Amino acid sequence: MAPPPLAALHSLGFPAKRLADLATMAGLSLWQPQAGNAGGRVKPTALRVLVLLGHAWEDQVANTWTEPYTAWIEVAALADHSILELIQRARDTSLYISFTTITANRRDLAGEVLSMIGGRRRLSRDSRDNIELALHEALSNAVLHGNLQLESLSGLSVDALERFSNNLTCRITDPDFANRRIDVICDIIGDAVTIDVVDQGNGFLPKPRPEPQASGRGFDLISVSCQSFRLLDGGRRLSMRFPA
Amino acid sequence: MDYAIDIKEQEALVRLTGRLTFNDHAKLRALIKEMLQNAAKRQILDLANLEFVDSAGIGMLLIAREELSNLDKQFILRKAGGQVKRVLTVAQLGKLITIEE
Repeated sequence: MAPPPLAALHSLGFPAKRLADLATMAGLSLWQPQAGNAGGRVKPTALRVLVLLGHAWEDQVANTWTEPYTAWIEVAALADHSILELIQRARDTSLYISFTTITANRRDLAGEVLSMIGGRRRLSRDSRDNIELALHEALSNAVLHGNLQLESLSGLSVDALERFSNNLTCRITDPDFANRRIDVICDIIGDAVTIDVVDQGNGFLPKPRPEPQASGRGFDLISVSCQSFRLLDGGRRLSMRFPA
Repeated sequence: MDYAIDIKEQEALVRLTGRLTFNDHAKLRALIKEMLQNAAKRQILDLANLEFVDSAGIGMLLIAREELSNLDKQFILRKAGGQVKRVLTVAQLGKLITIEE
């Protein structure tokens, strides 16, 4: 069964006037947590709230990984029309997250998404481990090789690791790379959980490795952790399916 | 990830705790340098209290093995359990690094 439609908009660290205008344009009502309707006391199907976040790395965001929130959009430098496009994408999805690359790199997003799925489905330990690992690897690929366009680590040496780390620091402090989007689209329907991770890089396709290297195992771990996966949009979108 | 090193004669026992992921690259570089500099011939990584490892963590363990072998030092992984044991198995790390129960 498809999730009920998105019903309301909430925000953290966002001007009230702009929020009200966006809510009107999106046709959503505004929602404020009050004693009794926050912290998991709302029935999961009763209300779905999208939260707009000024900058999503802040600690207060951790308080929103709970019902009735089902969609999280980090606004950063986005214009209103881009925000409305993302709200549209979030409408029919069980869980939707759109963060900047710098935020996706800072947060334990895999663990946070897993806790939200766990709030909707009773998962075995193995299922939890599989989803967390596959999602963690997918996000790492999307951040490092997708949006930050870093080459795989070459050579098995501390110096090579240091070079890779330095390149990462350069890219993640460059707004052109750091503000690219990472989207996580999760649907929990019937006996399956599907999770798509989308980046805005040049497209990444795994290559066979001639001999043991320090990198390149991410897709091996993804393939053993999910029921099936597909690379779409030239490698910018990884779609994974898990039994639930 | 955090680590503590206990050196006894020819053996250095390194206990890892927490999660080992790419975000630990700075700590891993520091750990590898410590293992290269101490006098022990056998460097043992105790993974009993490591909760999670990812593909980047596996890559960094391979870098440690390579650097230590350049100095004729032995590198051994010990007591992996749960998710960590499964990832080591999937990555077939046993072909490249000595893994003990």
